[in-house]
Amino acid sequence: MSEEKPFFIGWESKPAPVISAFTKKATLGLLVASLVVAGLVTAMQGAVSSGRFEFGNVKDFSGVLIKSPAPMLVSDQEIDGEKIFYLVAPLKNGFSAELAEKHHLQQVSLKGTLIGNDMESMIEVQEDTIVSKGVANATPLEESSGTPVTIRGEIVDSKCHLGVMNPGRFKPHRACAIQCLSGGIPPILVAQTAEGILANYLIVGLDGKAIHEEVIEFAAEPVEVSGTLKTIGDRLVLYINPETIKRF
Amino acid sequence: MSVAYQAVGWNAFKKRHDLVLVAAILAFIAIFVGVGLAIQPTFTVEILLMRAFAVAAITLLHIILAIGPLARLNDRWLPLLYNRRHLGVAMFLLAFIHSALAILTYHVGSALNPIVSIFTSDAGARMSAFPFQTFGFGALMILFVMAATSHDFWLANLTAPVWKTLHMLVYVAYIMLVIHVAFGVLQSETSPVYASLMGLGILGIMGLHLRTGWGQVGLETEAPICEDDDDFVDVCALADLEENLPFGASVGGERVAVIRYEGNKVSCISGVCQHQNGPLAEGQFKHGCLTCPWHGYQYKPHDGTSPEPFTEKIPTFNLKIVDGRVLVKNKPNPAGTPVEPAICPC
Ligand code: FES
Repeated sequence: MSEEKPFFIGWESKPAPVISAFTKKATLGLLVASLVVAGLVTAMQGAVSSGRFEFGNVKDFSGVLIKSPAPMLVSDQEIDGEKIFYLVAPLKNGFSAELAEKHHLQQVSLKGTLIGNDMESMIEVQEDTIVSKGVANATPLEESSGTPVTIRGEIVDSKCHLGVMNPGRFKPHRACAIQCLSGGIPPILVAQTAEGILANYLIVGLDGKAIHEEVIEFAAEPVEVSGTLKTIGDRLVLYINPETIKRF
Repeated sequence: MSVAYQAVGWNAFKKRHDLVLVAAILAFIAIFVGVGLAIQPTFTVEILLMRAFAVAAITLLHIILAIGPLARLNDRWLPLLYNRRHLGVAMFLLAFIHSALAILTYHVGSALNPIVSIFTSDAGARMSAFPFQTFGFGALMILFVMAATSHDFWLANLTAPVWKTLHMLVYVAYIMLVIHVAFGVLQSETSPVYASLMGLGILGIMGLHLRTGWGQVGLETEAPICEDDDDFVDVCALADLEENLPFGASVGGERVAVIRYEGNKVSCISGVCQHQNGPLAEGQFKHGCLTCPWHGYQYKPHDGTSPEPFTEKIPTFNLKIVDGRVLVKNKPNPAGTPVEPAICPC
């Protein structure tokens, strides 16, 4: 009779020692290789922004509400070095155009959650907490004269990009950007400046009115946008004809 | 052991296997999220988790696809093949959690139905609008059908050939997932490490399958018809038969296993296990039966039936020994037909 060859039968109580030893080694090898993959893949992810979303931390804000170029609150006091805050609603919704119209240039108080990165901030407003304190005596934000520009970048929704999602750009985020833009969240063109740093350009129509649906098809794609650039407060605002947006 | 008697049920090996599997998955997710947050603390946790589950799922899929060919190349890998279905179900669950997180993060919260959003948010031939989510969704559906039918109940009801064909769809799911990854996250995560890992994975799986296929060429070539009796084919020399280790051949287009056992008895039964079409010719004679290498189903060599109380039976073949050659009838007997073993003069 030939020497017995080790053979594995799963339902037997104990496999042959040589089989056990191999199985342990193979399992350990696969385990170590998998955990190395986990560490490597997570470590090599592209840099995300410093954006933050203070989810669950509802704060009181007060200031002057203005409706355009996008709904904003010019706060009475600086918060983390910021005085100007875009206003949006919860989930993938923009701030109510009706409320913006109603409270335009009014002194208001409201409750909301802070969103923001190094450059800009935003408040996710609980719209039923807005209380008007009368007409503001503050002057609207200072506005520079316009300069014609052509800028290459990516159109994203401002809410995710400023901190609700890190990363909140590029292909995997495209569906979300589309939902947010169609929900009325202001679009932003994210582009590298000549100095190599990222800049955000709020996109509005030529007449200064909000545009959303018109830019949806370009979301998360590399585009070239031509228009007139102005500074309003500390915000860069690009007045464009959406029909002139080009993919490149 | 039998489908009717829940043969491939829980046992000590399976419990240990699944314990290690769960611990490994938890460690994988913890490392992915922990290292990710340590390096970039502002990373959104949902997105990190979504990616952790995705990478865990695709890593596990590569392991699942590699185990089959590895076990054909070296039978020491068979213990990992034994419980591969649990790996498959775990892989589906990981992919499911990934997609649930993706839907919650990217698609919920607007007026549009989140499932509709999956299909409408990408459309077009441009790389930037390529519908990668549709491919991910399609792969998930295949994995779901496979996970849902992974139990032996379905194997018994669908029959092994149909079940096998259905489960071959894993390769379609794999291709769809490669497209999902290549046209999705790899469009934004451009580190060459990712493309290299993905390429290595694809090449590894292809290489192992080609190597296994190549190794099988000629192994079970059709045995030649016997000169003296054209009802029989000449399978091998008696000297080729090692005791308790079956010899595989193809007879009349059917895979068979010829086995010398209990010293001098020689029998021939089908080489295809009734459970999942496992290769009986790669098994061994154990506990009085030819035992399948994949999950341990057993068949008595003289009549092709499983030992009591199991009820499986496979075809038997008439066999004779002439001048030191093993001759097998070219037509199988009905499954479970007893055939007197030939006695070898060894
Ligand atoms: S025991 Fe499962 S295929 Fe043979």
